[in-house]
Amino acid sequence: MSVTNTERNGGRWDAIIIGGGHNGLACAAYLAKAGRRVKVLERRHVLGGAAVSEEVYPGFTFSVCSYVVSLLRPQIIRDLELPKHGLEILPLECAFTPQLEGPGLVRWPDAAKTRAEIARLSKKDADVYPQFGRAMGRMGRLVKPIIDDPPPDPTSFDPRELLKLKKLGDLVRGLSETELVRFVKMMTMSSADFLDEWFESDVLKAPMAVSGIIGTYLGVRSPGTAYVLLHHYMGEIDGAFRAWGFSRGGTGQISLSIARAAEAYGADIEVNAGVERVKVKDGRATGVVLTDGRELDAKAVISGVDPRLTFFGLVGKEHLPGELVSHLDRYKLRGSSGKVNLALDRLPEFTCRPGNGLHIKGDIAIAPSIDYLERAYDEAKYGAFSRRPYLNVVIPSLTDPTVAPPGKHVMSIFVQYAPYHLKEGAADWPNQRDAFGDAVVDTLAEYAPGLKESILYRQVLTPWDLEKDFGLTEGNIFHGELSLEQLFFLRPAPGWARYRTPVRGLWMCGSGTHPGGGIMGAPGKLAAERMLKERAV
Amino acid sequence: MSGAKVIVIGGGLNGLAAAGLLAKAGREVHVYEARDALGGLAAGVPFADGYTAPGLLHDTAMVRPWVADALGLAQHGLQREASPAAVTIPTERGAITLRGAEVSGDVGPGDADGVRRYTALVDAVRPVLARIMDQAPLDPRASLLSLLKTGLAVRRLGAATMLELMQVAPMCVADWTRSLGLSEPLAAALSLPAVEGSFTGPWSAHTATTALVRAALSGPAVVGGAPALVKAVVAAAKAHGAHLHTGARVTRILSDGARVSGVELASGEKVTADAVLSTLDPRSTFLCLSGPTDLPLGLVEDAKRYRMRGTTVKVHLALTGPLEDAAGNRITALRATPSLDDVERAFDAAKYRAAAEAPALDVVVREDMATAPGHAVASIVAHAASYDLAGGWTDDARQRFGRAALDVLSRHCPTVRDRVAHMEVLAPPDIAERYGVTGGHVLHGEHAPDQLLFLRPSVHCGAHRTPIAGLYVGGGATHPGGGLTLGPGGLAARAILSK
Amino acid sequence: MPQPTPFHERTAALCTSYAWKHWGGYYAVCHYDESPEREYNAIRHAAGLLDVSPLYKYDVSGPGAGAFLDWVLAKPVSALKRGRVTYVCWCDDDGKVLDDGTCWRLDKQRFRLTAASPALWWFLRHADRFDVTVADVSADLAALALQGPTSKAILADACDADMGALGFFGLTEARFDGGAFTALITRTGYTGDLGYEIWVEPVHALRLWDLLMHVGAAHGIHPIGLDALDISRVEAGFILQGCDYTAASDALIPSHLSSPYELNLGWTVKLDRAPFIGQRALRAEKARGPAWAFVGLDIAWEPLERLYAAHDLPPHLPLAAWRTPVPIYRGMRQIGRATSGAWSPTLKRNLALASVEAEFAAVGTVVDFEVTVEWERCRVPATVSALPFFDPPRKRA
Repeated sequence: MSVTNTERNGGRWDAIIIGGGHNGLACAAYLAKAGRRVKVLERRHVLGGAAVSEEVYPGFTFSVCSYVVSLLRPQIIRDLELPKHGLEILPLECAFTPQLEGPGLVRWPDAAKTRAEIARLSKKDADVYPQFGRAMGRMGRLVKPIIDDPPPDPTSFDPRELLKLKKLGDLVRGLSETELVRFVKMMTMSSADFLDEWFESDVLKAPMAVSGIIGTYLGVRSPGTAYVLLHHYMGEIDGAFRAWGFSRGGTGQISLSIARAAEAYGADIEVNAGVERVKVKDGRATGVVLTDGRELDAKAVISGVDPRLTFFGLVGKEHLPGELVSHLDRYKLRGSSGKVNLALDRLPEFTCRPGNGLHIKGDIAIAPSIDYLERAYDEAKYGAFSRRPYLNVVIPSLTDPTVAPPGKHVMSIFVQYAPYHLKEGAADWPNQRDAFGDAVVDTLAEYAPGLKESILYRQVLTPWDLEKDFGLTEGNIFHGELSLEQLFFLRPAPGWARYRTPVRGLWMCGSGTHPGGGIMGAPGKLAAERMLKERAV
Repeated sequence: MSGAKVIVIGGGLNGLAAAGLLAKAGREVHVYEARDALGGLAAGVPFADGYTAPGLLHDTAMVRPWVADALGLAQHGLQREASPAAVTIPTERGAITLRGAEVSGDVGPGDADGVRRYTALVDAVRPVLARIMDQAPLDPRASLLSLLKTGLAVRRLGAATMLELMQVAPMCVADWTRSLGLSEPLAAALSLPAVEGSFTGPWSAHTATTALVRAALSGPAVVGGAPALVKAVVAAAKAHGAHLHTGARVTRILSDGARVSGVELASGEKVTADAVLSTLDPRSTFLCLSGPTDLPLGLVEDAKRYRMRGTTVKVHLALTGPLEDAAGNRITALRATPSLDDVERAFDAAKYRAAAEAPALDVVVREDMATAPGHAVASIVAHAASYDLAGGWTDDARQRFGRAALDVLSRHCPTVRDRVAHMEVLAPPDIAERYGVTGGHVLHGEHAPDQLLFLRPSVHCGAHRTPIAGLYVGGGATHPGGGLTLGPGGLAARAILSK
Repeated sequence: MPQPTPFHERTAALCTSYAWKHWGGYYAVCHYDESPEREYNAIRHAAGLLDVSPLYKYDVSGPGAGAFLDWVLAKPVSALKRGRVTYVCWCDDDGKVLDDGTCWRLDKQRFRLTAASPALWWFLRHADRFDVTVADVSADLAALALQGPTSKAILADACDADMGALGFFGLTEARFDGGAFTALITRTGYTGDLGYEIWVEPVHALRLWDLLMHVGAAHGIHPIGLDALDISRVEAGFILQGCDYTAASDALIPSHLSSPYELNLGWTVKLDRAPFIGQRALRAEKARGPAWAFVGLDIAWEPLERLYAAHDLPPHLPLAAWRTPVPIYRGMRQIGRATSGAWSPTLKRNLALASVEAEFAAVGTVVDFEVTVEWERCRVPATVSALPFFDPPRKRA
């Protein structure tokens, strides 16, 4: 990336952004668009953070970590003109849940087709399925204003804050009785219990329930997971039909398109530029020191990395109030997922639905039953990876042939659970990495028998690797668990939920801030807007 | 409406408390209890010749003072202990003794400070929680003023406590207790009351709230335990003029879909009344005692959805001597579970239609409930087993569970096995059958956020009133919830009287 | 991806227009020829044969079947005589319409319901408290509507049923093809004309079709598609779910909901009886008076003609019925919407079905109907008319 602007600015920047992930880049783009001089520092040789594409094996481009797009805020796409900078999102065809016995379930974009599939399992569920979608869409509309705005401060007596709280209160009080009850249930119940109130078929409920646990260290029977289910329906309420999709060229393209937009607005982006620490003087952040010894000064330093790494790794506990330190000690990161990427010689064939028709062109979930998923979690609770894990498999090369040589394929497998904290200790992951990879491939091969023979290359990422390679503390892909006590005005810590930190001039813009993880871009955008509003840059 | 006739279904503590208060206010009250004994889950359980267990539920520390005062229970013999009971918490090397906010014995380095922080939050939120528990349930649809009042009470806690509360409330009790720096056995012991009775483990979200509420509302226990509490409430109800009928099962609530007219008894007798208060769980009240067209749909549907998956097994031991640890120290109360993971594993079993291999035990020992001098009764609330056990709750399954509980207990009390003269194991279906509680759920339904306050047991009857004129609800399945609190009965009586 | 109905082999061969639509997960013909006109005329002057297999059908049986339906439906049916059919609607507990259809008494303990949209979920949700079994028999029954003045004669020739004895909203079993197979015949329809619906096991579907087409040839039978049906049902003033109203279960916002009183279905509600789902809310609404009314509109012709004439054009109307909601005004204020309409070839009138604010529901009230002529929005007067628009005596024969 270009470093030519450095001289122009004489080393003095309006804002330095630590981490070239999609949120850091979005923040940079919005600030640069507003005319600020912005510098982005990325430790790795590629941009994108966890939204990154790399040619790990010759000819095969892996979306190494994140692998599908759903939540990227449409407003960001429009504001930053991302399609002009190379963003193309291709829709996911369907959601396929193979079974060992039985024909499996495919949910299609075509409602009538889906109805026929579900009716095989339960006619009643087939009737209710579209109603559930509508109910969730309605709930999503309720939550949308919460996601699109910075959270209020419930402890403040500032009239503006009180007004915001009142607005939230009005939102809840404006609900019909049915919606109110549904809202409470959705915010607090487990996804399994929540779905039980709607559906009877386990084969249907299991793949629906997983939306509630992805990226969390919770099981489908854990209260609080029903809320995460909602995220699955968020994309659709923005009016973007079939919002789940692949980014052409891999998820790294999302980051790259944001980076190009940022550069077009004048931001300066540098890779291979690791930050050693944030310079703090008299309680104020003045710049950063790089691992190569360089020092850069700026009016504001913005961290796109997770809260614990930001405060404990880059700032230092000595500069922080004790209360925040204890909150961050309590802040739950504990990564729970891993990733296996495969380069395949040929397409897999699932026993329950032979052939490589449209059903494998979407999202393939190994989630045969609620109990299966819960047992996978049980193992993780006690510090072991799931021997029979939940797998979310996509084959992007079927939709976007540019990521693999002709006739060959790339398979991305998201795996849960792989707890960062093994009972042998996190440092034992390198010893267990291969066994973990085997468990994943063995599990999938039960459903798609020829799989093993078709593997040309296997990349296994454990939470340990995610921490080491991508700077995700404890391998948490969302920069912190999406549980109620870590959301909204409590993310990442009570009192510090609005991108500001107790260190003046230091700001946060990563997934560890409201509204949280996923390739959403919202934290980066909201942080930039907040800073501009407060004239911090 | 003075002199109006009220029928109370169920002679448990809540039914009795409501009857007493209604009678005191001049109503003609008739309580119909299906069993031969009054007191419901609090009634003494004679389970072997000369041995009576102190209630299916034995924790009497949560009795709401306002109800006790309104009934005048003190005049009827109710006394509370001077100080909190000492609870023994076994550790690997010995035991921790927890008495109120004090810990002693084999404590870990962070225990004293952790318990202090735990107690500080409990004490700080107690007034707010008591306020919420002693009033008609909070309801976002209510007038803004009443909400603001509670909101203000929360704010008065101060920013730090308020934020801490907001952060702790949604947490799982395991995270909370561990974040306090408590040693594993103490953390596990403090988590146990939060999961008892429900389909939850310490890793389930919101269990910190349950723990917090239970701790904040607990005061000193009742002298003489649950049976003494029942005795006082019965005496008060009678003194106020309530008519108590035992062995009288109500089989049907009579209504025309708009107004209740009375009840029908198993004998076939129809009793008319101006109001009917059911203290049973919503499935019993709305599905079993009501005809399919008697109630508005919403109520029926909520009753069907209401989650009451009992996980508690009650074990009663008739002991020929006291319960003692290895060193011969007598134990009066004990929570036996080595770690949070053990409690969680016990719950895991219940998820898969199994029973815990090493159940988590909450033990109360009473020497005054065995007739033979020197003998004792151990009342054990054991967590957890499935109501719907794979293979069914056969005698063999019950025995196996009892042995497992004994194994856990004898790790700390090696002599217990030799002193067991008789053991009774009540599995969830036994509890369901004996006490008429659906699912054998001893709390009349899970204490989950969507089943509390104005949603307990349904948004259509959360304030103890139902859409059927004259039909009220007031058992553990209503605000403020299950357990021996008298709260639901008290609030239901208030709702009836305010009409 | 819709499925073919049991009659698909025949309908597909005849559908030269290739005009198909999706209906309840099946392929259905819109019109066989270029225009629905001939098919419409068959309904009104001879007989039209329509594949209505996609209708949802449910069997309710057991000792508690009557009690169950009395609880679920807005009208009690337990006293319905064997061999009778009645038109019903059912509501949610807020008194909002979920669906409308027919209810047949097959036997002492057996009823059948037809529905426009899936209803199994709703019936099953309440069935557990009654001694009743609810089965979805939608795919177990193929169905044909035979509608029009000659339909009776065709059936008299095609089966052994005593057609003279089969009165309006009656039901009978009949043997066809010399006893080769049996089918149920109901004296029902959606055209407002003399007509029948024939319900048969799918294995006999093609034989039934062939037989009726063969016998019907002498009586002017013509296969018809949904477009012709649509014109005739507008003339008959029949509402269509998903078009004239939204099922309560499909509503996204409260304003999508309708009570039976707002849909002109008040006559299918019987309030003063044992409790049923929605009773409380319906009672309250009846006492309060519904906010909306479902009315027929007779759109004035001459003003419309003048609007076109201003552009030097003759009036242009679509051949089929339309289903895009159109605003209805009174003065400057919008007071409702027309939800479907058609030019009535029989009455020579431009008709619409509309929901208007209750105060404008009186017959004879003149309102303004929005039309777009040459990309210009205009208004023409329309008069609230009694429904049905077309009501021949043979309809009840």
